[in-house]
Amino acid sequence: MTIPPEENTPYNANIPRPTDDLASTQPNFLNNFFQLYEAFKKNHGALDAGATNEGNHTVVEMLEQPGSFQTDVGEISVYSKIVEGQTDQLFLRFQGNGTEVQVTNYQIYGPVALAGQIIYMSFLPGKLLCLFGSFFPPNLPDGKTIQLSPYIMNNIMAFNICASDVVGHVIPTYKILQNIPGINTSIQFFQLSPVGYFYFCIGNI
Amino acid sequence: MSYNPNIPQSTSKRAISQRQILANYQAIFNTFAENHAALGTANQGRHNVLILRSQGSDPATGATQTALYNKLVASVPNLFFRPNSSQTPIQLTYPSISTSPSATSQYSFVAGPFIVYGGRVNGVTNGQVIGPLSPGANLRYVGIATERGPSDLDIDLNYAIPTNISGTSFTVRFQGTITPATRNITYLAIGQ
Repeated sequence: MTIPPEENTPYNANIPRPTDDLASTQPNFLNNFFQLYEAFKKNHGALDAGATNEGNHTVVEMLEQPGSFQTDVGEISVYSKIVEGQTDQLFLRFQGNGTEVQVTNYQIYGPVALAGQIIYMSFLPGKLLCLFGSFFPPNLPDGKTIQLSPYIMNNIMAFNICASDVVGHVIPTYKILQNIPGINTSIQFFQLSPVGYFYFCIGNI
Repeated sequence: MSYNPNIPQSTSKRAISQRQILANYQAIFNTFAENHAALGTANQGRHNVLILRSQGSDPATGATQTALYNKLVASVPNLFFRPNSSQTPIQLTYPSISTSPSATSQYSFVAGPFIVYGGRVNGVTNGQVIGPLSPGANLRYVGIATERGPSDLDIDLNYAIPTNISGTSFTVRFQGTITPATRNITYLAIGQ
């Protein structure tokens, strides 16, 4: 596309004026078409991308919003908003100004595992953190405790455990430890002998 | 005045065309500002929000395309993802959620959609039915872990397992005879 001389001139929604003649208005028209072209091709197939691609989205860059969005009946809105202690996160809001749901969670600090512990971290919509993995405890005094790192869970929603060995030497009982006030930092469990096991924990953050 | 793609006409007088062209430029500006940073701003073209209107059917996708869209399920809008080449659409959302940390029973969702339930129930007795879980969905998985009592020893085998998983409920069964006769449990369940 030919770049007009007014490439840095923003789009002007107020042209042409009644007194403009074509000669004076033509650069304004050209600039508006250019600015429209440039703006539209951000996140979208460009206006000249061909019938297959023009208008379709190439990516959706979400600008941080100061608040929630309204939704009418039949609509869902998706947007990003800053979350305290995190970064910009993706939100959705159900129809008719319904419940706002935080879809993603990102923590600056990743999980730190004990020796022998493997932690995978993910999340569920609604500010739920999922920690899961395996633990093949070494012969240490804390060999019956798994860490819930990063230490941000303020409530355990659900916890499951199962043994990795043939006999099943893990007893599926637990005790939640709070070494930081208000935060569930670890889960102590009980076993008949130091065998490996797998765990899954969901908690509110 | 709404956007008119058929102006100016070759026979239009300039005075008429001026108003039409002006109206079109303003209509473009206003329409573009929906969901996007407005024309003339530093981020013009990027998105403030995606407000998705419900679609009557799943959109077709090409070999290198995917689609994110809104479709009604039982008259309720839900977010869908369709993989490339018009493969099977995947429902990403369930129309409600309850994840208050103070609640004894909570639920969220994962793509499918499946509902993920979890909760802590205090003072459970042997044979106690947990449920019906709400919102109602057929349970596909239930797991239980049992909280230790204050006087329990490591060698105690006082744990519970889920049995009779049916519909929206399940039954808690203790292993052996326990003292005291109740335990606190946490459960994780998945329904569809």
